[in-house]
Amino acid sequence: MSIIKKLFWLLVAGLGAVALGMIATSREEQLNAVWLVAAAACIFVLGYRFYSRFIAYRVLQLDETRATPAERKDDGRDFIPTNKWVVFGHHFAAIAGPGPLVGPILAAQFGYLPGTLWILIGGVLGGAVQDFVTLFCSIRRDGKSLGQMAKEEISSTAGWTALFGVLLIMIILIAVIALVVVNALKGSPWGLFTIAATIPIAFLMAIHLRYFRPGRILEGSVMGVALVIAAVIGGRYVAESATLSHWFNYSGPTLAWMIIIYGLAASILPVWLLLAPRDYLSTFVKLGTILALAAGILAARPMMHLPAISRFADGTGPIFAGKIFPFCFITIACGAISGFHSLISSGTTPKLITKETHARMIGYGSMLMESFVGIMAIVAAGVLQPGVYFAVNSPSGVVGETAGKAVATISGWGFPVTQAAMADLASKVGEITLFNRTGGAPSLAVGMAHIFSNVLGGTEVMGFWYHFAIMFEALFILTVLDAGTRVGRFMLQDLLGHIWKPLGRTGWYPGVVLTSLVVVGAWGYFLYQGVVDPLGGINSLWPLFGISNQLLAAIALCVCTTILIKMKKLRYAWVTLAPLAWLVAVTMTASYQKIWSPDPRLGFLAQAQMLTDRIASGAIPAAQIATTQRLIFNNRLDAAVTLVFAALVVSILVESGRHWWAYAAGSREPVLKETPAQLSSLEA
Amino acid sequence: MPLAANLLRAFWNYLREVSGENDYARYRARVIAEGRDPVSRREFYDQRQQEKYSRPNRCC
Repeated sequence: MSIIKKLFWLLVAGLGAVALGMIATSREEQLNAVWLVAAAACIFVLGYRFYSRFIAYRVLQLDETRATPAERKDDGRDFIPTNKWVVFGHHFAAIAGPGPLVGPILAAQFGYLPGTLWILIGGVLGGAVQDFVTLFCSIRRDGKSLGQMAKEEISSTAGWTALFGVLLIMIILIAVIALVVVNALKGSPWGLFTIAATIPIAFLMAIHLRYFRPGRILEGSVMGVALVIAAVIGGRYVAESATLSHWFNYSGPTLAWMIIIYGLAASILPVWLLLAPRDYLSTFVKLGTILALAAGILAARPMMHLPAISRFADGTGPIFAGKIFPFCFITIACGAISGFHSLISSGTTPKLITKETHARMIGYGSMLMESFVGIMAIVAAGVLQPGVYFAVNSPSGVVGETAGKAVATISGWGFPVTQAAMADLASKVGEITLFNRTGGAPSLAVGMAHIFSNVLGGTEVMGFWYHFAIMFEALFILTVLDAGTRVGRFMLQDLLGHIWKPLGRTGWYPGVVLTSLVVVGAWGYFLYQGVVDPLGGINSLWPLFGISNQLLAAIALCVCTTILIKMKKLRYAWVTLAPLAWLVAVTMTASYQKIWSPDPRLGFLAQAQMLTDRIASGAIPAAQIATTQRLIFNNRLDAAVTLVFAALVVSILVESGRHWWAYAAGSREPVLKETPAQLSSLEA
Repeated sequence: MPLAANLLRAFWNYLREVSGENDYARYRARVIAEGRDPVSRREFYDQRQQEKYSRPNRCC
């Protein structure tokens, strides 16, 4: 390294240290959000420059002269050597979903510091490593999927565990993100109108892209984005009109049914009609909004109003129960480490990479970008007054049914808020009420509206920015929902095809409808249960989602560690083993507490028991007994699902551990199922 | 402002690549070079979309 380069990196390290110092010492006075952004930027840049380089050249020994699957199997369809920036764009668009925006907002109930530190450390040492090493392993194996690699490199049991884990995570993921949408749109004519409008807009785009100008994706998308923005503006008039607003004002349970029916339709309709145009639309809106948010934070330089560490570190938080360890690390999965990414890293991406060395930027770099999105989400939550943050996010079952009770409870926690302030905020953003909007999306939208309106337009346009933010989140949540339901259906058809052939045929209509019904029914059940849950649904479903996502990360890291050991790199195995050990500690503790904690808000079984006791003692009125019995059943079901997740983690660990032991003890010779090396003839 | 124009052009080309708008032209050139008949633009995008959305492609 030249002197100038050394000086530059010293400067980055110095700036990062100053930023972290500002964060660490600002206990009493408020912190400017720019320090958080600066600390994150420095740490990510340093992590990329030094740690990913160490992994790339010391651990994995990426080889520029070794032909990638894209080069060897180049067929112009699946395998195409592609420019690295283009692959980076594809990969980032695929991994960045609603998770890194919602999780950090929810975890902000602990204050902004725990989540920030977890995203910084978890991203650099965990998530980005997982994505990068999985991508590398898949590149060395002709772009095989995680499940195939688990099967070939560990055992067929491990392969089945991975497959089953993926199907389960899909169902829980879709249920919980659909719940986020329901909570954002209930009683919100403006929001619902905007989202409903995206369906006909997608149809218009579809017809344009299929019949008039096939494949002219950019012009179709520009048209779509313009129409969606018009719908956000038009939503205000719908909300203000007494007759029209009535048509778009629904309760949570009704909206849940609407989403279930929508999901079923989207899974059965041809992809070109709804899924594909929506995906273009949501990808452009998503990337544009993320860039705008970054620019907005830098331009507005807002102050953080949430405390660095809140009183709810003790586990009594209103949004979800449980202490910082393990629940901060479960709540923020996407953004710090997300197992789902391993599916993308072992999916399309490895088939497009021209040079092995590109995997560093694409695998490691994209994840750090996502972590950065997570940091921005924390900023968006942190700029809210704590009282407002808790009033928006706390379920009525915790803080009280009426606005009066809610503000009294929240002010009693030491986070003053008044009914008048909440009513004023709701009217500024064009909503009827902002109380009891559990799920993260509304508070993110309020935070974004706050930041954007500071830069552009002032409070008059807060309503537009709020609904733009809601539209942006709901749009790509629904895209994940459509795409996930469809993929879940294909996976189920694949599984069932082993039992009865016709069910596996994707062109056989009864099979398509039946498997779609099963998948939609599964997530629909959890969604509905979450919507009617008096504790807000997020309290039970989001930890389940976090655990399932971390389970998938544990599977991916097991595969990576096994491959590293088989490559005779035992002394570097800590690179994947350390994040794996942390994840196992986190998921096992969280699973144990969610199942067996004696606190009824935390433990599923304790809550079931408490409700059973209340029925027995006659404390529940006769009219509510059926509902209560359903709650008891749901709690037991959630406990069983958590147990299955934990069992899957243990099973894959035992399965891999047996192999590691045998290799380390020398009782078994490792056989690597790598594609033989072939000299590359492509220029970098 | 040639620099700004160049940057804008590069950005537009990047968008065309990332969105997949250039895919058909590349496919067509390749298939013709190999002496085969390309499928139509619509058929090409139909097939691509079917494949794209039958495996995990959008994350949480």
